[in-house]
Amino acid sequence: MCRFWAIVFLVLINGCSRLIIKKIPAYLPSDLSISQNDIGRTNSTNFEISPPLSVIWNYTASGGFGTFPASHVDDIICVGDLNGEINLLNIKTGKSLGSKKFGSTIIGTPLIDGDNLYVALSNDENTLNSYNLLKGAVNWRLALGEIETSPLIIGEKICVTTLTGKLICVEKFRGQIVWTFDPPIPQILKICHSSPASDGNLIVYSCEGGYIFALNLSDGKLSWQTNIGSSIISSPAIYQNRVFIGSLDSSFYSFDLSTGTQIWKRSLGSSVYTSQAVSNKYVFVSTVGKSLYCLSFKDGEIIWEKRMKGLILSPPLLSGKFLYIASTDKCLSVVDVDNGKFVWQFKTEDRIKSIPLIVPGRLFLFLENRNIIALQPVGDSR
Amino acid sequence: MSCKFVILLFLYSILQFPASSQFFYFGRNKVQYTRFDWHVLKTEHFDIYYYPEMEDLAKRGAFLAEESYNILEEKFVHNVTHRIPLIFYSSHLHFEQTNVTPGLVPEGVGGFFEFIKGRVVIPYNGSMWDFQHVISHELVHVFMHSKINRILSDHRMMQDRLPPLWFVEGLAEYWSVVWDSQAEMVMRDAVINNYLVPLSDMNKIYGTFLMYKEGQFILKFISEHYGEHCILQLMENFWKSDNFETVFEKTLFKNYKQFDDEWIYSVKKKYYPLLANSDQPSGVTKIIVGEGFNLKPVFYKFKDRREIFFIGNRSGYTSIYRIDLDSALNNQYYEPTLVLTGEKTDEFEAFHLFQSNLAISNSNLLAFVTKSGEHDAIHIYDIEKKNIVETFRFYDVVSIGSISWSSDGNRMVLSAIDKSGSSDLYVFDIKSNELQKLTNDVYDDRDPDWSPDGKTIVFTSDRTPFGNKGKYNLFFYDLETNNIKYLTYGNENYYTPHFSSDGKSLIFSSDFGGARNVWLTKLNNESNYQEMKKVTNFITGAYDPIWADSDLVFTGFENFSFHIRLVKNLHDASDSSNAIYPLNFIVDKPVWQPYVIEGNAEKKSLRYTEEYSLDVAQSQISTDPVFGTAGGAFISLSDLLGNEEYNFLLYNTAQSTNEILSSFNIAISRLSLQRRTNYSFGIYRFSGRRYDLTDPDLYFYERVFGGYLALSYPLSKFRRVSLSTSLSKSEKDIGYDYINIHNIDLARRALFLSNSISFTHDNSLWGPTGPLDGSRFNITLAYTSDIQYSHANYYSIIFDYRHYFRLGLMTAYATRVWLFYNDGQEARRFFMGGSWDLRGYPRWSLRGKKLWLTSNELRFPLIDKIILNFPFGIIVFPYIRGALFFDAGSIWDDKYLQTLGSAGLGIRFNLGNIIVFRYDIGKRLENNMKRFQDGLFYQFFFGWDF
Repeated sequence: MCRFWAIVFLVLINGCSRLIIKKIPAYLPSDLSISQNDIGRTNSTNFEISPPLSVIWNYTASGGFGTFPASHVDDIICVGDLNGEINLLNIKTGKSLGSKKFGSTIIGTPLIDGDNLYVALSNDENTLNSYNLLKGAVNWRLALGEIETSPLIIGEKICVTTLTGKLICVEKFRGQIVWTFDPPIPQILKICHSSPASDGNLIVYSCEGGYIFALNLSDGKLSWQTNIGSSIISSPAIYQNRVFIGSLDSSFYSFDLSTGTQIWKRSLGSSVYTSQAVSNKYVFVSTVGKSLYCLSFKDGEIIWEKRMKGLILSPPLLSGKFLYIASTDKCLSVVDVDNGKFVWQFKTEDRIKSIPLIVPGRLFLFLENRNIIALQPVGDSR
Repeated sequence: MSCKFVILLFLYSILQFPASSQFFYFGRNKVQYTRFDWHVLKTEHFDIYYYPEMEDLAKRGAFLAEESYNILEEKFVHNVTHRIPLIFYSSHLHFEQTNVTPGLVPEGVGGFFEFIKGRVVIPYNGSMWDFQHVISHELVHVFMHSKINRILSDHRMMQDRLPPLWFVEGLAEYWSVVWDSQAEMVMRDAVINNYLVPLSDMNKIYGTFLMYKEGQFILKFISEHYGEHCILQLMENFWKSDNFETVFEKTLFKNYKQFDDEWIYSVKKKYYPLLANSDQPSGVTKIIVGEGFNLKPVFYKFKDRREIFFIGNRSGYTSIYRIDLDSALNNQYYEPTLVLTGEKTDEFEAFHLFQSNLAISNSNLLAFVTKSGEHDAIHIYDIEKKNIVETFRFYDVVSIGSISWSSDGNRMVLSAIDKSGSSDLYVFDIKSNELQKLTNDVYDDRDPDWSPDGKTIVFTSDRTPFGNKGKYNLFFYDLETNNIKYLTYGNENYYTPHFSSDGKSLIFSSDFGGARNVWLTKLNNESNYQEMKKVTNFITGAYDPIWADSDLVFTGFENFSFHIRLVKNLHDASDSSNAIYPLNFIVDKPVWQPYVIEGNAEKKSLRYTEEYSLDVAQSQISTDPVFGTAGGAFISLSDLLGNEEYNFLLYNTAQSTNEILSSFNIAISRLSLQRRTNYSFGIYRFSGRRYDLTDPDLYFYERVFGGYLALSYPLSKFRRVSLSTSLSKSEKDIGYDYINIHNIDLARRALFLSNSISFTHDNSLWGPTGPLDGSRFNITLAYTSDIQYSHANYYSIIFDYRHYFRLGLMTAYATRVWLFYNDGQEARRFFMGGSWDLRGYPRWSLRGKKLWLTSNELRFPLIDKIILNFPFGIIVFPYIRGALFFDAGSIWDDKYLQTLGSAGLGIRFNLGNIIVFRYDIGKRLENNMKRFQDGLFYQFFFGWDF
């Protein structure tokens, strides 16, 4: 009997958790949250935040974090964790606006679009989910296969790559598959840990076998493909008709988005596991050899190299004239983009493996000990 | 089993019973021969523990550790956030004294990673390359452990598992060492001889060297065919399933079976063609000694008698054997004769099977090396007189590798490692008993052989530009000029050179061109041109070549065994060789130099101070229908080196609130293992209801408090003397009900002084279900008296002798004799009956103060392995053994009652090497053993054979 009530209790606290917000988050065109509006995945934000920063609140999530755990809209950050839980937090107070366990690991970025939340689930669930935040109910759920990447919302479409190498485009309101691209190559070569990037016309992603595919967003037809001959784990970035991507052969590449022609290639000495930050002047990329590079956008020349103390497992984040880079020596560093000099460093209580998130007046760090830390410029009372 | 275990066992027995001397245990000893003055070198990521004699080595090791750390950090894409304790020993003999692990450390263990405190313990064996390999290997374990735990923690999963051993050890090899000729040899042999084990059946070779190498090969295959990142993904995906095969399938999109088809086909395609141009040793050579591991042959000729002496492990003990060469050639089943048994006595504690050779002088003296106490010793055995004539022990060197006689028999050259870890050549003058160092540097010098003219020593060394990649070349040491000259120069290995009897030729083994084979070079002083010719062309490998007149005798590796084999007429074989390579070379690169950690990387060196951290913390609540509920906790703390230990025990047996204070049971003890004399002392206070199995059975309440001191002095690995003394105050109350019913009051107070002394011997060799060879012996004398009230006063004698007669490799006749004797006031009673002692009788159903027992058992193998394949996986029942037994004994108080006995047969299963399930069927011998019982008895038990 006790067992029965224990089960009932567990069902009540787990199964009945609902994620509801009271109003539709206001979307401003100037808002550039990491994954939602930056469809080129340039890891750069229009919000500038100047160090020094100080901690204003922290929040403990139920699990660890993936590389891109959070997105932002209005005054909300939406965080997914490896324990399969979504948390909506007020960016000012850190108060939880609601949380929901989705039943399986969330590796990619959860996205809020209007009153809907889009979440890709890995392992057991293997679904792409649309969840209505006003009703607290699932709009639709598509079993697409294991997803370990971040979906990309472009207009009325949401695109996602699966672990088996498919790129699937879904109509975001009804959850109908618009098109699917499945590369005609052996399965082991098309394992995909790369999130897609787009310029609004073409959509690009890569596979472990070293393939880069560019498809027409409208119909999913292959525009071009290339193979660099080495494994790719990171995601591409698209900016000004260029595709940027790093590979495990210790090289970093720039391709012409229209044709797939290689524009330049730079050898960096160690494998590239993380994606890059791109501006119109520079490309910032880190290697597993603890080095952070600033490359010329134009020709890939090394402008400067910065050696960090710890491994750099999170992608760099560009914010105006500052580059934010977290490393496993429990440190967030802020670097001057022009000369690579340290501007400010912040010691944390645990390693950081996720990209920081910057919103107006706030910077968020996602620590390995499951803590989300909010920082704001010293003296800023917003 | 170590002294530590004995003392712990003693501790727990003394805490429970005042009459502690009635309990005992067998086991071998980990003897702390050496007093280490531990220091700590702190580097960026490591705390390196070392002793001053090996400071230089510690700094080199520190450099290698930091270098490995940086490499592994990139490979794992992960960093370790805590400081890693790295404990170095300058030799394996020192390493065997470590208390980081409680068990005995076998010779084959090159280092280990301990999970509880994350300690890495590594010995140096003279080779900087091996040192680097082992450091990297163990650090792979550290990184993997840390990364897997991190991944599980990120997904909010219990950190209670690791990948399977083939992956854990395979990766440790793959990311720490290049695929070398030895690994290649093992894989070639497995493929050609068809014993390659697929991934889906890897449990069949769990924990074996083959599993390590297959694991390494499989990961190499994955890296080459799927990409190195897939190995990382196997760890990154570890959270996805409890079953690693599922993780494997989710990562590589192939299950084990599909993957096996692929990689096994690939290795067959690679290795089968080798048979076209190369041979297996068995295909082209004559066998001298087969079966088991047989190495280091040496040729002996006396008149017409031609013999081979060798070191072999044919029975579980490594020993020296001899075999008549011509008889063996004529009869392939001719068996070698045992000359000296190793690993049973203090003098021959261990033969170093893969390290030390045998050498025979012109005056028929066989020299060999054994571990004998703290250091290695050289023993001289007169072959004709068949006795040991002399033993030489050296203070300056710790372990000894190979030895070679001078032609006059007055001197020996030997390779040895001193306390600093330096591996050099020495000349030992037997008459003056002087040991002179020939080489003195960081390079590893091995396998010396003295030329017949006495002027030159040939040896192998890593003192080349290729030495930092683990390559050994051949050198001449000119004893007149003390100059060292290259004989070979290349990025290959050359080992075990031996001069021909005329000194004009030299044979050696080398992996030049791939597999390790025997090569010959003719030494020509008149010409600058020299060449080496390949004598054997094996797919697998040939070791330890020696001359046997004009023939070649060597150790061949085939079918995962080392056999001693012969090639007729060595010069003919070399003259017909097509593989000839010149030895006229130019030394074009400088010799490697070891790096040491210095400057900013070396932070500080401090003297070691004991800091205690948790080993075990366990709490438990138990409920017993008779004794009620008891709750408590046990905490054990020890220092980083495991030398000192504190144990705390606290529990409460109160059955009502007003009993809480009086029902606390507390024990505190300290155990010291740092010195040769292990000791333990502690205090305790126990109280609660007890049940006494005396007649009449009764419950009583007892409060006991006191203290104890126990000492254990190991005379050697096999023998020890233990002493103990305890003083305890005991207050015993019998319930009022009992007094009312029986009208007697057994309440008493006593101040017990209990002393005991015992001697233990154990050199038994264990099979899968119990001992198969050797003997075990314990005699204990104890005296307990109430020094205050004289309410109790008794003595105890315990005699336990067990002998195991080996009848075959896995068959033995085991016998045991017990004589237990307790006498005096309040002497405790022994219990007998059950599968553990007198079979056929209910467990502990027989009681008395005196007993004798003899058990006799024939142990034999029944089935080596049963594998049941289920859809969810396989279940393996290994080592199923049978037994025929006969027991007889008696137990009595004052008057001898009757002799009891039983006979029957049984079956035993080894369950995961943790415990043995025993099931016996038989008949009791009743009525003073005059008749068998009606029917049969059936008994089962979990425990090892006696």
